Amino acid sequence: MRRALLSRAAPMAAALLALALPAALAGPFHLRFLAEILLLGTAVMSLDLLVGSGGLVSLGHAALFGTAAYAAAVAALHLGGNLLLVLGAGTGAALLLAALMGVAIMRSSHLFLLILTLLLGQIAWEVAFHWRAVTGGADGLRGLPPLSLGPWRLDGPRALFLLAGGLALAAHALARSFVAAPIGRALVGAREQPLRMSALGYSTARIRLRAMLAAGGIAGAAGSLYPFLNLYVGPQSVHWSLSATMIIMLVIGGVGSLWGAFLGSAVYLALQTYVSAYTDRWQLFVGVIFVLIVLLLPHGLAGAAARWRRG
Amino acid sequence: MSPLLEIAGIGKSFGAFRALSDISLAVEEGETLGLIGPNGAGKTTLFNVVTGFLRPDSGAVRFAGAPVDRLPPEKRAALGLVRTFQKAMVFPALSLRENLAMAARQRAGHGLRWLGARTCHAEADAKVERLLAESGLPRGGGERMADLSYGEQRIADLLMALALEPRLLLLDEPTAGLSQAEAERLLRIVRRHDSRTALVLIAHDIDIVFGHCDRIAVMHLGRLLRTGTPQAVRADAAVRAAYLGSLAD
Repeated sequence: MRRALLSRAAPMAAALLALALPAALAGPFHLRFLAEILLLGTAVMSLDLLVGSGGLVSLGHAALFGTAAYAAAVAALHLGGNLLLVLGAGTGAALLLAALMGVAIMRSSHLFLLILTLLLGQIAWEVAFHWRAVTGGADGLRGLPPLSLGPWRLDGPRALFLLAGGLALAAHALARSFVAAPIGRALVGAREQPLRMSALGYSTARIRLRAMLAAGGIAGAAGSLYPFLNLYVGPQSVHWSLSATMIIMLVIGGVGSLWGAFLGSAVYLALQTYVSAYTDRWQLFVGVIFVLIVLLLPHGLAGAAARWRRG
Repeated sequence: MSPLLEIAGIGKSFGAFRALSDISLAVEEGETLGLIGPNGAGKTTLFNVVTGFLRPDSGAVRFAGAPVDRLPPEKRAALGLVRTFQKAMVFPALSLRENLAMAARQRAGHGLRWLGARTCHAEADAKVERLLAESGLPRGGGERMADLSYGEQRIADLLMALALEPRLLLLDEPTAGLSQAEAERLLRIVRRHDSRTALVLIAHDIDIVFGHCDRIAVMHLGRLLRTGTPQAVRADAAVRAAYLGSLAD
C-alpha cells in the first residue's frame, strides 16, 4: 500500500521539483526555452495518444497546434490577452479542426491516413499563409498583448514557464486518464484487431473521432499559449514539417509512454538551440540521434529509462 | 411469433463466381442450427452477409422482426447478432481479462467512456470474473492472450462473444483444431450460459453437429441443399451425394 502510494507520488514529486528548480534558478532565456519544450512536448504527447495507442500516424498534428496558436493570437489582438479567453479560443479552434480531421480519417489507415492528414494540414497552412488580412500571411502576427489573468500580468519568463508547466501537468493527467479509460482501451483494440472490434459492437470510426478530438484539444491548449512565448506566431507553426518534427520528437522520447514526449522535445530543441550555434548542419545530429534511437532503443528514451528503473 | 433470424433470397457474387444463390433460412429463438457443407460451399460468406461484414447483391436479412440490411456490423452486434471468426480473433498483446472486459464494457454501453472509468472497469471486471469462473479455464486472467494455448484462445474468443449476451450467436468452426473433449467443453459453455440464445454453428465435425444441433442446414456450391432434423438430413440422398457420403453411416 505504502509502496503503491510511493510509486505514484514519486513521479509527481519529481515533476514538481523539475518545475520548481528552474523557476527558482534559471535565467530568462532558459525559462523561455524550457517553456517552449513544455508546450511542444504537450503537443507531442497528444500526438502520442494517436500514434501510441491508436497506431494512427498523423502528419497534420502541427495544423491543430498552429491553428490554435493563430486563433489565440487573433483573439488576443482583438479582445486582449486574458488567459482564459486565449485558451478557450485556441482550444476551440483546434477542436473544430480536429472534428473535421476526425471525420476525414474515420475510415482510413496507414498510408492513406498519412496522406489525408498531410493534405488537411497543408490546407491549414495555405489558409494561414494566404489569408493576410487575418493571419498576416508570411509575416505572421506580431505585437500581441501580454497574457493576463484578472489583475495579474503573465508576461515574465517565470510566469510563462510556470504556466506552461501547469498546462503540461494538467494535459499529462488528462492524457493518462484517457489511456486508462474504456475509450483508451478501445483505441488500442481498434489498432490491434479492427475487425474484431466491429464484431464486438464498437464503431472504429467513432473511436478514432474521439481520439482525434482528445488529441486535438490537448494540442490546441498547448498551441494557444505558444504565441505568447515570443509574442509572435508565423505560418511555420502550421507547416507539415513541424508535424514531422513532432513525430521525430515522439520517436526519440518513446512512442506510447506519454511522458517521453517531453524528453523527445527537450532533446530535439536542445540540439536545435545549442548545436546550431556551432554549425548550420545541426539536423545532421538530429538524424544521427534519431537513427541510433530507432536501432538501439526502439521504445525511445522513456522506454530505456523504464527498463533501467526496473533493473 | 416470427423467427429470430430470417434470411430471404440472399445472393452474392464475387466477379463471375456465385458464392451464394437464393439462400432462405430461418432461425428460432433458443434453437441450435448446424450449418454444414464442403469447403467453398458459402457458409462463411453467409455469416459475413448476416452480420453485415459483406453486402449481399440481393435478398434481405431480418433480425428480431426488423430489417437489418442497412446496419453496419457494429450496430448488428449491438442488437445481439454476434459472431466469432474462423480463427480465434483475440487481442494477443492484451491480457485474457482485458480481452473479455473489452466485450463486457461495450455490452454495458461503456465502451467509449472517458469519464467515470473506475465504475465502468469495476462493473466489467465483475462480469469477467463470472465468465472466467463459468468457463472453467484454469487461468487467473492476467496472462497475455498470446501465451494461452490454441484451445484456450478459442474458448476466450467464445467468452468474448458471450460477454455480449447475444440473442443469436454465429460460431464459425469454433471446434476446428480442438480435441473432442475441448470441443464438447466449448459447446457446454455456450449452452450453460443462456439456453435462450439461438446458435448457428458451422462445423466440419459431423459428430459435433449431429450430436448438438436441433436442425441442420446443408450448403453446397452456394446453394442451400436441405434443411431439416439431423435424422432427415442424414437420410437425404442428395446430402449424402454432395457431402456426407459414407460419413453418415
